[in-house]
Amino acid sequence: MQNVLKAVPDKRLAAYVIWDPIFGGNFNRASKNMTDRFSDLRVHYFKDPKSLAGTLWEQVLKTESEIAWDVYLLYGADANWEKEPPKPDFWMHQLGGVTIAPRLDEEKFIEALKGLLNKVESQDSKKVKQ
Amino acid sequence: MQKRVPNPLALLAILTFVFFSSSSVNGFAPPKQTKRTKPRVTKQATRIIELHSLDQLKVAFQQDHGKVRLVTILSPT
Repeated sequence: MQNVLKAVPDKRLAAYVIWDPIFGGNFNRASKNMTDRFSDLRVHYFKDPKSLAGTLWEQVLKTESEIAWDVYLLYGADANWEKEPPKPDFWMHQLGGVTIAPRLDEEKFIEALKGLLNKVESQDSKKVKQ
Repeated sequence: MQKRVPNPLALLAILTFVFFSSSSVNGFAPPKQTKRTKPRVTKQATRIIELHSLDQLKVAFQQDHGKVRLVTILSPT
Protein backbone atom coordinates (compact mmCIF):
# COMPACT_ATOMS: atom_id res chain seq x y z
CA MET A 1 0.00 0.00 0.00
CA GLN A 2 2.97 2.30 0.52
CA ASN A 3 3.46 2.49 -3.24
CA VAL A 4 -0.16 3.44 -3.76
CA LEU A 5 -0.04 6.16 -1.12
CA LYS A 6 3.23 7.52 -2.47
CA ALA A 7 1.83 7.56 -6.00
CA VAL A 8 -1.26 9.48 -4.89
CA PRO A 9 -0.18 12.28 -2.54
CA ASP A 10 -3.71 13.67 -2.34
CA LYS A 11 -5.16 15.06 0.88
CA ARG A 12 -8.68 14.09 -0.17
CA LEU A 13 -7.73 10.52 0.60
CA ALA A 14 -8.02 8.86 4.01
CA ALA A 15 -6.67 5.37 4.58
CA TYR A 16 -7.32 2.80 7.29
CA VAL A 17 -4.80 0.03 7.73
CA ILE A 18 -6.21 -2.69 9.99
CA TRP A 19 -3.92 -5.36 11.37
CA ASP A 20 -5.64 -8.69 11.99
CA PRO A 21 -3.86 -11.69 13.56
CA ILE A 22 -4.18 -14.21 10.74
CA PHE A 23 -0.94 -16.07 11.33
CA GLY A 24 0.99 -16.91 14.48
CA GLY A 25 3.86 -14.92 15.93
CA ASN A 26 4.01 -11.88 18.14
CA PHE A 27 1.02 -9.93 16.86
CA ASN A 28 1.56 -6.84 19.04
CA ARG A 29 5.20 -6.44 18.14
CA ALA A 30 4.66 -7.21 14.46
CA SER A 31 1.81 -4.73 14.10
CA LYS A 32 3.86 -2.03 15.80
CA ASN A 33 6.88 -2.76 13.60
CA MET A 34 4.80 -2.69 10.44
CA THR A 35 3.10 0.53 11.50
CA ASP A 36 6.43 2.23 12.23
CA ARG A 37 7.72 1.34 8.78
CA PHE A 38 5.47 3.76 7.01
CA SER A 39 4.26 7.05 8.35
CA ASP A 40 1.66 9.05 6.45
CA LEU A 41 -0.67 11.58 8.05
CA ARG A 42 -3.58 10.30 5.93
CA VAL A 43 -3.35 6.81 7.38
CA HIS A 44 -5.14 5.61 10.51
CA TYR A 45 -3.67 2.41 11.91
CA PHE A 46 -5.80 -0.05 13.85
CA LYS A 47 -4.76 -3.17 15.69
CA ASP A 48 -7.62 -5.65 15.68
CA PRO A 49 -6.67 -8.59 17.94
CA LYS A 50 -10.19 -10.08 17.85
CA SER A 51 -10.49 -9.74 14.04
CA LEU A 52 -13.67 -7.69 14.43
CA ALA A 53 -13.05 -5.82 11.18
CA GLY A 54 -12.09 -8.91 9.20
CA THR A 55 -15.22 -10.71 10.37
CA LEU A 56 -17.46 -7.75 9.60
CA TRP A 57 -16.05 -7.15 6.12
CA GLU A 58 -16.38 -10.84 5.31
CA GLN A 59 -20.15 -10.34 5.51
CA VAL A 60 -19.86 -7.55 2.96
CA LEU A 61 -17.27 -9.03 0.59
CA LYS A 62 -18.10 -12.74 0.88
CA THR A 63 -14.63 -14.08 0.18
CA GLU A 64 -15.82 -17.49 1.46
CA SER A 65 -13.53 -17.33 4.46
CA GLU A 66 -14.24 -16.63 8.11
CA ILE A 67 -12.26 -13.42 7.98
CA ALA A 68 -11.74 -11.08 5.05
CA TRP A 69 -8.08 -10.15 4.93
CA ASP A 70 -5.45 -9.22 2.35
CA VAL A 71 -8.16 -7.08 0.82
CA TYR A 72 -7.86 -3.53 -0.51
CA LEU A 73 -11.08 -1.55 -0.62
CA LEU A 74 -11.92 1.84 -2.07
CA TYR A 75 -14.91 3.94 -1.09
CA GLY A 76 -15.99 7.10 -2.84
CA ALA A 77 -16.45 10.36 -0.97
CA ASP A 78 -20.21 9.79 -0.63
CA ALA A 79 -19.99 6.36 1.01
CA ASN A 80 -21.87 6.12 4.30
CA TRP A 81 -21.44 3.49 6.96
CA GLU A 82 -24.82 3.01 8.57
CA LYS A 83 -25.56 -0.39 10.14
CA GLU A 84 -22.81 -2.13 8.20
CA PRO A 85 -20.02 -0.81 6.04
CA PRO A 86 -21.25 -0.41 2.46
CA LYS A 87 -19.98 -2.47 -0.44
CA PRO A 88 -16.80 -0.88 -1.70
CA ASP A 89 -16.84 0.99 -5.00
CA PHE A 90 -13.78 -0.96 -6.01
CA TRP A 91 -11.75 -3.69 -4.37
CA MET A 92 -8.92 -6.09 -4.95
CA HIS A 93 -7.36 -8.93 -2.97
CA GLN A 94 -4.38 -11.19 -2.76
CA LEU A 95 -6.23 -14.39 -1.93
CA GLY A 96 -6.02 -17.69 -3.72
CA GLY A 97 -9.25 -19.01 -5.25
CA VAL A 98 -11.24 -15.80 -4.84
CA THR A 99 -12.73 -14.75 -8.17
CA ILE A 100 -15.44 -12.26 -7.18
CA ALA A 101 -12.90 -9.40 -7.39
CA PRO A 102 -9.59 -9.03 -9.24
CA ARG A 103 -6.26 -9.83 -7.65
CA LEU A 104 -4.27 -6.81 -6.53
CA ASP A 105 -2.62 -4.96 -9.36
CA GLU A 106 -1.13 -1.73 -8.04
CA GLU A 107 -1.38 0.17 -11.31
CA LYS A 108 -5.05 -0.67 -11.74
CA PHE A 109 -5.71 0.10 -8.10
CA ILE A 110 -4.05 3.52 -8.44
CA GLU A 111 -6.08 4.15 -11.58
CA ALA A 112 -9.33 3.33 -9.73
CA LEU A 113 -8.29 5.52 -6.80
CA LYS A 114 -7.53 8.46 -9.08
CA GLY A 115 -10.89 7.94 -10.79
CA LEU A 116 -12.69 8.28 -7.44
CA LEU A 117 -10.65 11.36 -6.57
CA ASN A 118 -11.57 12.96 -9.89
CA LYS A 119 -15.23 12.46 -9.01
CA VAL A 120 -14.66 14.40 -5.78
CA GLU A 121 -13.25 17.22 -7.88
CA SER A 122 -16.23 17.30 -10.21
CA GLN A 123 -18.64 17.19 -7.25
CA ASP A 124 -16.83 20.13 -5.70
CA SER A 125 -17.00 22.13 -8.92
CA LYS A 126 -20.75 21.38 -9.16
CA LYS A 127 -21.20 22.77 -5.67
CA VAL A 128 -19.36 25.94 -6.65
CA LYS A 129 -21.54 26.43 -9.74
CA GLN A 130 -24.81 26.09 -7.78
CA MET B 1 69.59 39.97 41.07
CA GLN B 2 68.48 40.83 37.57
CA LYS B 3 64.78 40.17 36.86
CA ARG B 4 64.08 38.04 33.73
CA VAL B 5 61.78 39.73 31.22
CA PRO B 6 59.94 37.37 28.80
CA ASN B 7 60.81 37.80 25.18
CA PRO B 8 57.72 39.36 23.48
CA LEU B 9 58.39 37.48 20.26
CA ALA B 10 58.50 34.13 22.06
CA LEU B 11 55.26 35.00 23.87
CA LEU B 12 53.59 35.85 20.56
CA ALA B 13 54.79 32.57 19.02
CA ILE B 14 53.34 30.56 21.91
CA LEU B 15 49.99 32.36 21.75
CA THR B 16 49.78 31.89 17.97
CA PHE B 17 50.53 28.16 18.35
CA VAL B 18 47.90 27.70 21.05
CA PHE B 19 45.28 29.60 19.02
CA PHE B 20 45.74 27.67 15.78
CA SER B 21 46.13 24.27 17.37
CA SER B 22 42.83 24.58 19.27
CA SER B 23 40.65 25.66 16.35
CA SER B 24 40.29 25.21 12.63
CA VAL B 25 42.34 27.24 10.15
CA ASN B 26 39.89 30.13 10.07
CA GLY B 27 39.26 30.01 13.78
CA PHE B 28 35.49 29.55 13.42
CA ALA B 29 35.17 25.83 13.95
CA PRO B 30 31.99 24.86 15.85
CA PRO B 31 32.55 23.39 19.26
CA LYS B 32 32.61 19.63 19.43
CA GLN B 33 29.19 18.14 20.20
CA THR B 34 29.02 16.25 23.41
CA LYS B 35 26.10 14.28 24.80
CA ARG B 36 25.02 17.47 26.55
CA THR B 37 25.12 19.78 23.52
CA LYS B 38 24.01 17.36 20.79
CA PRO B 39 20.42 18.16 19.73
CA ARG B 40 18.07 15.37 20.60
CA VAL B 41 16.41 13.98 17.48
CA THR B 42 13.49 11.76 18.31
CA LYS B 43 11.35 9.98 15.76
CA GLN B 44 7.73 10.18 16.76
CA ALA B 45 6.08 6.77 16.61
CA THR B 46 3.00 6.47 14.45
CA ARG B 47 -0.14 6.08 16.50
CA ILE B 48 -1.86 2.71 16.42
CA ILE B 49 -5.34 2.34 17.85
CA GLU B 50 -6.43 -0.93 19.41
CA LEU B 51 -9.87 -1.86 18.19
CA HIS B 52 -12.22 -2.79 21.04
CA SER B 53 -15.38 -2.00 19.14
CA LEU B 54 -16.24 -1.55 15.49
CA ASP B 55 -17.74 1.80 16.42
CA GLN B 56 -14.19 3.21 16.62
CA LEU B 57 -13.70 2.35 12.98
CA LYS B 58 -17.17 3.51 12.01
CA VAL B 59 -16.63 6.90 13.64
CA ALA B 60 -13.30 7.38 11.84
CA PHE B 61 -14.87 6.35 8.54
CA GLN B 62 -17.78 8.74 8.96
CA GLN B 63 -15.53 11.58 10.08
CA ASP B 64 -13.72 11.31 6.78
CA HIS B 65 -16.96 11.53 4.80
CA GLY B 66 -16.23 13.70 1.76
CA LYS B 67 -12.88 12.02 1.22
CA VAL B 68 -12.10 8.94 -0.79
CA ARG B 69 -11.43 6.16 1.71
CA LEU B 70 -9.09 3.25 1.35
CA VAL B 71 -9.54 0.35 3.76
CA THR B 72 -7.14 -2.56 3.93
CA ILE B 73 -7.11 -5.53 6.29
CA LEU B 74 -3.73 -7.17 6.53
CA SER B 75 -1.79 -9.61 8.64
CA PRO B 76 1.36 -8.09 10.14
CA THR B 77 3.10 -11.46 10.44
